Amino acid sequence: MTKYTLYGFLFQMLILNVVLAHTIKAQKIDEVYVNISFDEEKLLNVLHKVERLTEFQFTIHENETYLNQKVSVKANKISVEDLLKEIGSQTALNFQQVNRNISMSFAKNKSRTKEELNQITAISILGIVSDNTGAPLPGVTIIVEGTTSGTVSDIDGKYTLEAETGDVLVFSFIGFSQQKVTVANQTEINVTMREDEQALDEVVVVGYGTQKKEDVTGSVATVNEKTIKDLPVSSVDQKMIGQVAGVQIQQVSGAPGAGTSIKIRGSGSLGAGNEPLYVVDGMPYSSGMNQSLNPLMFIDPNNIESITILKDASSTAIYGSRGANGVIMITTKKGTYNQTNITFSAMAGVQQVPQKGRPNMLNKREFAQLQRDRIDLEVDLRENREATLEDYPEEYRDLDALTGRSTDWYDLILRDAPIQDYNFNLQKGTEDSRINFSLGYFNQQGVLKETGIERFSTKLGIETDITTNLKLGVSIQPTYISQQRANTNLNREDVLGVSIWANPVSSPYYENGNLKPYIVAPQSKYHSAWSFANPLYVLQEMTTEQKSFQNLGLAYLEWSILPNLRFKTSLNTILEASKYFQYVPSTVGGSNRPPIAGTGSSSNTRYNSFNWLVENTLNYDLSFGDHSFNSLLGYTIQRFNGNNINLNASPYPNDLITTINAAQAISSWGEAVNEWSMISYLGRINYSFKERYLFTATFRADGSSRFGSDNRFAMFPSIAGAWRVSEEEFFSGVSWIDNLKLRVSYGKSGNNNIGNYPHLANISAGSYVFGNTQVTGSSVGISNQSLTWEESNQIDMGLDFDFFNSRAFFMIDYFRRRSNNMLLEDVIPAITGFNSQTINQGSVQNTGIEIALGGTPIAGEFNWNISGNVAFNRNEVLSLNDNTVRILSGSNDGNPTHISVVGKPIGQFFGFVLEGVYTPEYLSQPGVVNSPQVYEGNVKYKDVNGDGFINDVLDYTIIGNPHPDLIFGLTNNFSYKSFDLGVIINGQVGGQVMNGLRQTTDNLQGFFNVDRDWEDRWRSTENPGDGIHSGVPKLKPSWGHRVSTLWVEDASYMRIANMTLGYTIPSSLSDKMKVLKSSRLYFTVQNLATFTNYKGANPEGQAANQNNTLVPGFDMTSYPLSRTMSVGINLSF
Amino acid sequence: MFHHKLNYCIMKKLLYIVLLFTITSCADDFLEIYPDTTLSEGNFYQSQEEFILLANGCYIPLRDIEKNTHWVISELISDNTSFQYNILTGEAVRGVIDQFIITADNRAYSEFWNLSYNGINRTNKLLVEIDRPEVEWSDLAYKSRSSGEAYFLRALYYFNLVRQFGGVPLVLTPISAQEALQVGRVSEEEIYASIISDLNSAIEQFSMATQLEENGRANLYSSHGLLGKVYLTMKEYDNAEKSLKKVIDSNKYSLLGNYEDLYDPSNKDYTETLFSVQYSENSRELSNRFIFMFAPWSSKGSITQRPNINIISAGWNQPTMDLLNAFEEGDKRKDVSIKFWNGPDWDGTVRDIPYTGKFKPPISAPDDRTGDNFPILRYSDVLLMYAEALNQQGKTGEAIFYVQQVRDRAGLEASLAGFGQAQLEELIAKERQVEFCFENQRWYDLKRTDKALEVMTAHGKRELAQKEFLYNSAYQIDPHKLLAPLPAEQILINSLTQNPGY
Repeated sequence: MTKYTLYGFLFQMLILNVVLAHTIKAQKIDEVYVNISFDEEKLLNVLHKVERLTEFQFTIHENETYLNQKVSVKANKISVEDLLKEIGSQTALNFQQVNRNISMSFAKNKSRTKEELNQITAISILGIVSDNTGAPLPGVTIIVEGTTSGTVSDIDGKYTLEAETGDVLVFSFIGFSQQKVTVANQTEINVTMREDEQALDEVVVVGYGTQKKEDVTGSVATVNEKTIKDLPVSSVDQKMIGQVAGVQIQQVSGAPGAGTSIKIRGSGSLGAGNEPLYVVDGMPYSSGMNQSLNPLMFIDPNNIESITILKDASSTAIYGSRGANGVIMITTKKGTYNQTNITFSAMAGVQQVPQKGRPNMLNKREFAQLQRDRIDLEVDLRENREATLEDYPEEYRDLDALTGRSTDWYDLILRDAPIQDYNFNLQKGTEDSRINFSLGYFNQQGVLKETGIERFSTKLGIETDITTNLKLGVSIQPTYISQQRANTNLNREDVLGVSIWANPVSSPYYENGNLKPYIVAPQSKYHSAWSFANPLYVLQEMTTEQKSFQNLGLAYLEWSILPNLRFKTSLNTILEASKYFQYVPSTVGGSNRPPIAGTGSSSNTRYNSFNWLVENTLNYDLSFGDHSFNSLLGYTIQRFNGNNINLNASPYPNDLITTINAAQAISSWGEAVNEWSMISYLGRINYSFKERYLFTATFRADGSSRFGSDNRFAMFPSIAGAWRVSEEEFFSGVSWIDNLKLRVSYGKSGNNNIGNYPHLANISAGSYVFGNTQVTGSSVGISNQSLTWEESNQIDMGLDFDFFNSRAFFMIDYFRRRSNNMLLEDVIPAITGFNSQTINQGSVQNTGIEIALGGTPIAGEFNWNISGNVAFNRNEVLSLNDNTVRILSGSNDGNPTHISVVGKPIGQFFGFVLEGVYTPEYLSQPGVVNSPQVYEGNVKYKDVNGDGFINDVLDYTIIGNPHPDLIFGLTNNFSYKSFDLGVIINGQVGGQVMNGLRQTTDNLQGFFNVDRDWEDRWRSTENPGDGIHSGVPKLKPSWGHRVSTLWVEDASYMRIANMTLGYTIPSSLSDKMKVLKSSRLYFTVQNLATFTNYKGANPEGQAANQNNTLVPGFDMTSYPLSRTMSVGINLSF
Repeated sequence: MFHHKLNYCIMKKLLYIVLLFTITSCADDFLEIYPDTTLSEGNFYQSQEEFILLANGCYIPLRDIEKNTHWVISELISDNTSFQYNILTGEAVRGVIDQFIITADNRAYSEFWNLSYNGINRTNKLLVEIDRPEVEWSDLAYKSRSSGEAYFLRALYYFNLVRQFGGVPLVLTPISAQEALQVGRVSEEEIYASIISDLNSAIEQFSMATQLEENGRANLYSSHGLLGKVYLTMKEYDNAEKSLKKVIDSNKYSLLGNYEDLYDPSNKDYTETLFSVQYSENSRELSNRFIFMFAPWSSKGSITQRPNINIISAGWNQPTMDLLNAFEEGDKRKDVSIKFWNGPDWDGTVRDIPYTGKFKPPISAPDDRTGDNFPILRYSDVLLMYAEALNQQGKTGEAIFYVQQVRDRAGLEASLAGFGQAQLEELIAKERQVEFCFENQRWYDLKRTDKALEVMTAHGKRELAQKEFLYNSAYQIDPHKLLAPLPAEQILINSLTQNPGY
């Protein structure tokens, strides 16, 4: 069972006017009676009426002109057969029933010549229709071209049909290209349908419903599930990389289970986050990034049926105060009626850290020289003499002995790690019920030793018709995740940080081969590098684990009050429970902090939450004449309750037992309760006139507990219009254009990630003690009663263009998104008693163009599909608050690293401009201000404010921009016979990254190992190096490791994100295996190669403890992205 | 007929749906959520209980100021103490202040400023809200005590601020961010006037609540004593004398027989101590970690008796030779105040390293939580201030008696009879230096007695001669440094005028 057949059914379930083709016991047309009367009514409307009154469906193309014929019938009780006969007599049409489906054709009135009559011999043809994997395709319509006689393939893909030699059989099915076969003398015609990548009639999931793609008025993108099916990654967001224009998915960390940062159409918020809203099976699931554990890990990607991305305001406004950053709609699989399908997939592979992006540090000898240089200076400064060998630690005295391999600490803590994924899926459907069951197991060990993640997932979904107009559905989706973490992406003290700057002279092992817990740097009275805990030992001895359980529950009842009036009520729930445990044994030390017995400490967190949502929606469809309406009304109510308890215990007398009871004391503790609730009213009207002029209006009102009572309800309206130019009569002559649609939309959506209680002035409780009596001490916070949601207004103009028989497509969108009332943490004068206050002010604008294009340049046995996308976005801060002209953010040595100012994009890099080193020539100039930091060989920064002195912050300026000029994705799929090859490329052009670890690896004070570039440092007047890299600093504090242009590197990159080679066992072979319907083997490489000038591990790296919005592009000890090579198999029974 | 029936059916169905849509019509209740873990202001001010909580809260910033910051800018900066050099940390926030390198961006000043105004805002809030008519007081004395505490603490916060920065913005009611932008600095005199007014209000309130005194809280006599100190600082010796005499005449306080008992965290003193910042080992929040800051870092666990605690960033408030030499022969306070640890110093050489002995390792806490109270006002201070006020007014003979009391306890029983005014003035200054070493008095005393420049210049010379690791710009004793710089970011945000020289 491929996804496409499923798609077809989904489509057929939802959209009338299309063949409904189950092999079912349908009623006969002569057994069904209707009350109907009409006078001079259009045939099309009459047929619709019959559809509404009966279970029958007509196979018609609505724009055919014969449907405009007028007919009249008056009858109180008439069988459908008689009715159709009557209509047939008035219109010269023949009708034919296939199951529930009625097709029609013109009665053959063409008189044939005698010869023709003689030649015509009716042949009974039978055959099997299958898809390209060999799986039988049920529900394919087969029509004799030029007639309306035809049939539909059954559950085994089999069909029989009467035709004549020379007739052309047209095989069509949703999601597949039409196939035409001319009948010769054969009696068996087997057809393999080819999937149509850009099927026009695709159904897309939108907020609170589905729509035919051609009817969509907003900017809505879908992800081609087939392209990304076999990617060896753990969550769906990683699969979407490079697939959708304007969706920037940054893999900020390579840790197993780490979250990604997703931005749709840029950053629109300064204080409330920029991550989109995920909606899983109708449940607003989560928004906000969690770098430690990706919330999407809880959705097994194998269970996902479709992904839709809502980008413009007209499609996101229906999600109101949560839609401003775009919406990602995820729909999980359901079963199929009348079918049983069992699939099993398995994937296993190995992950490695590529050589590119690994640190390149001083080797043993070079490091020893640096230590000696430092000591030389110290001896000279303190004792005013030249250093002798005795002043150096013994290890550094003989430089020539320091040859051979230096300790590669980075490599020491990495490994080749396995990854595996298994999924079993059972779908069983009867005429009125369907069930979907799946079991999944995923295991990814980290390329950083002692890290990894394991997932057990299950899904059970049942849907059944209680009566003909009442449908009940229930599903549960429990998932359990166990994750082993290590501290990375934090600072130089984390394991990756240490492994980069660690002393290359020291060995991680004792002579007996045991691991050293703590590395004492070679010591001198004058200077020594930092001592540190062995990072491998830390990884091995320290425990950091998170265990999480989550269940997504869904129950709904759908009631077709009338065929065109449907009511649905549903209950969605998310239950979550997790447990975090960290134990730092006393054998683990820190930088210059040797391990001390009896100092073990633990941290425990228990979390649970329950989130429920009740939704009631009413759908009403109405068509008359050229008008067609589809309307939606809804009322939803949601509540969240989360509770978090944290206990930190220390010290532990020994490390034998790590549970809290063994600790001597609980050193700190806390409990947090978070609650919010929401009541919403929503509505939408889709109107189409002649199927050419489309119009959508949506509305949502959100009432939220997060808003103050004066401001409780937020209104989010939107409108959109589209013009299908290609449907105009004047366009009918242009045959190469299949679809040309112009779209425009405008609307408002919001961002309510403002915290749960910020509008209240809370009374914070502290403690104080009088004598031996402990008391509570309270203080009153600063309130902001008018605090409210952020608001985003967006205009979108787009064009959809399909041409060459839908073999090529082109899509372009222009948008302008302006976010107002932004949530800002405003710095306020300390004399108020507070240093900052949360307010709504300021605005940011994102303007951009998105282009997606692609096609099938070569079709046939060798097939080539290509699709690409590119997005340009310009971000600009339009205003900030009254008393802050700039927002400084980030932190390096107590100084900022980023700045946001009006007129520039959010979060520009901020620091010194490096001009090189002070030279004797420069210093001999008159007028050089002789401050202590001005001496030959020291670092020279630009005096930005021109006061003659170099000062932190005062002489900082904008030194880079983290926002890319454009992002792109390119996907190629080739297939030849049973082989297929897919290549996904993505990347960005422009944009920069700041490597925060350079505060350490560019720090020449001799505490740390430094980048090899520092071999070209200034050493003396005679040996001034490359003029960029300064000498070992003479003064403390030293200037050399300040934020400067040196840290800012180009983040442009192109990545071969995935390459997959697949082989589908031909159906002829699998047929012989009886039970097996299809099978596919593949070999895939994820992150095959990254082309970038960035020297760090990952140009998308982002420190976990830095705000992703205000401190973007700040890479710190990034967990490297691995290259994954794996093989997999998909079996279908 | 049929049509009508159908319509009726539909109407009925629609009715059900409308009902479903309005099931939760009480939307406001559903959307009204208050935090479970904290109180919020809306329904807070009900009874005296809430105001007692608010009054308690007014002490909290003071505790944090004394724990982390105040000693840096009032003791470490002076000639009394220095720090043990550390090749690994080369700490630049506190170390520079010891070396008299004082800049507006030093975090010590911004921390001190922010916490002080945080405390002032707490007292302002209490004083504004306490007159709410709906509050039910079961005993009005609680209202007086809480008001008194707020007045006292506000005076103390401003007294510290004015002694550091000179004139600062005077905020006496809760203000919004917008209002704050309009508030500039006022003169030192205005601040002192406000402090005196607050202390008089405190005295008035406390005198109506003497039955509610509790160990550790501010009270009537701590207010009198502080007022005396304020007057002394303003050189209004007559007023100082009057205020301090009230404390002496109350007979409520006396000197402990044994100086060492003042610093016993297991038996905290409220006999000699009029007011002290309260600490406890019970929790991280309540505790200080003085000994873990002040022990030589190279001593590891041998002084703190907690070998499991890394004290790599310790070594602060190390007694200088100046302080050591200030003790007279036979002064019992020396061995209490200054202890020596024999072990490797910063350069690896084994020495007798002096460290502050007034602060003790934890009694029962397994980690670095210590519970030593930090004295703000002691009876010996009252006596020495009283003596100084008398002496400055020429009543030297009268003054000697009070100085003698303090010296007697220290074992310096030689008679002071015959001391002249100037001689006694000098003796009192020296007495104060040793009696209150490590108690954040020295810098203020030096400034108050106009001796700061002279003493610091001499001290700087000695330090520069002794220590090779000092910064090049160490100990440049400029007069403008007697006033601390306003925190740089506050100058930017609030357009305040910076003190000259920065």
